[in-house]
Amino acid sequence: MPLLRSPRGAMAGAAVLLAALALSGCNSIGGFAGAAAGVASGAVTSNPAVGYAVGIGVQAATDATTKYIFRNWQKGEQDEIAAVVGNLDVGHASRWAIVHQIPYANEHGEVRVVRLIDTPLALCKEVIMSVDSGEGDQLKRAWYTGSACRSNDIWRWAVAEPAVERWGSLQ
Amino acid sequence: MRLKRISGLLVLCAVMGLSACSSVLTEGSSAAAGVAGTALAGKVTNNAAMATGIGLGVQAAARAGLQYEQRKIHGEEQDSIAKAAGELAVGAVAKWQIKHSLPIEDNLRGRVTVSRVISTEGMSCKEVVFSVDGVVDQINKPDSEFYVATICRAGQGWKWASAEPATERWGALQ
Repeated sequence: MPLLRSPRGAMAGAAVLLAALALSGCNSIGGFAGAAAGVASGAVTSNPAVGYAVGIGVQAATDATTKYIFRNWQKGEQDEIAAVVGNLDVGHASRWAIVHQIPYANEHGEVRVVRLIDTPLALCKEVIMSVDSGEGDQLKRAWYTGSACRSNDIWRWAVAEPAVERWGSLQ
Repeated sequence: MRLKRISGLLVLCAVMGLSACSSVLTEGSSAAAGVAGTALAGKVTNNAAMATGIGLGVQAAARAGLQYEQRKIHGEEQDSIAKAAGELAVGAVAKWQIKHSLPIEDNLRGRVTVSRVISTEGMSCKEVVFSVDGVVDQINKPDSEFYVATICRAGQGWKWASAEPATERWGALQ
C-alpha cells in the first residue's frame, strides 16, 4: 500500500514502471500514470471509488498530453515533406527526412510529385512518397500517396480525414 | 443522461480553455461514467476489485457512446461538403458551412471546388479541394487551410469517400 515508502522503494518502483513502459510502448503512459496515481491516492483514502476516480483523472490528462505530443511530432514530419514538395516540379523527386529533438520516430525517404492540382481555390500537388528503413541490401521502402496544398506561400499536408464510416478503431 | 454529462464536460472544457478538449471530453465523460459505475457497484459489493471491474465496464460503454456521437457530428460536416461539391463542375467554386446539432465541434465554413472527375463503370466520384476559412458568423481566419478529399455518388446524394490511412501511417491517430 505505501507505494513510495523509501527512496529505495521509489527507485525500484520507477525501474518497474520504466521496464513496463519499454515493453508496452508510449501509448500506455496515461494508463501507467493513472494506475500509479490511483494506487497512491488509494493509500490516502480507503474508498476504492475515490482512488479510482483520481487515477482515471490523471490518466485522462496524461493521455491527452501524450496524444498532443505525438500529434505535434507527426505534424513536424508532414510539414517537412510538404516543404520539400513545395519546391519540386511535376515529375521530380527529392529526399525527405525528419529528425526530432528527441531521437524517436525519426523517418526518411523519397518524395515525388506526380500531378499538379491547379484549382481556383488553391494550388495543390499530388505526391507519392516512400518511408525507408534499413540500408544497402536490407533497404525496405514502403510507398504511400498523399497531397499538399499551398496556403499563403507555405506548403502544408492536405490529406483530408477518412469518411467517418471508415474510422474503425482510429478514433 | 449522456447528453447532460457531455454538456457538463463541455462547460468544464470552456472554463478550462483546453485546446485538446476533444480527448479530455472523451476520457472525461467515460471516466465520469466509470467512477459513477464503481461507486454504484461499491454499494452492492464490498469487493473493491469487482467494483473497479464494473466501473471499467461502464467506462468502456460510455466511451463507445461518446465516440458514436462524435462520428455522427463529424459525419454531418463531411456530408455538407460532399453535398456542396456534388453538383459542381470541374473548376467551379461553391461555399459550404455546417451548423452542428450538438456543439461538440465548431460550426465551420469554407469553400470547395472540384479538381477532377473520377468515374468508371457504374461509379461516379470526384476529387475535391476544400478550404476551411473560419467559424460560421465570424470573420475569416488569417490563413485558410486547404485539403484534398474524394467524394462519390451514393444513391441520390454524394458521400465522403476518402479511405482511412494505411495502418503504418496511423501514428498518433489511434
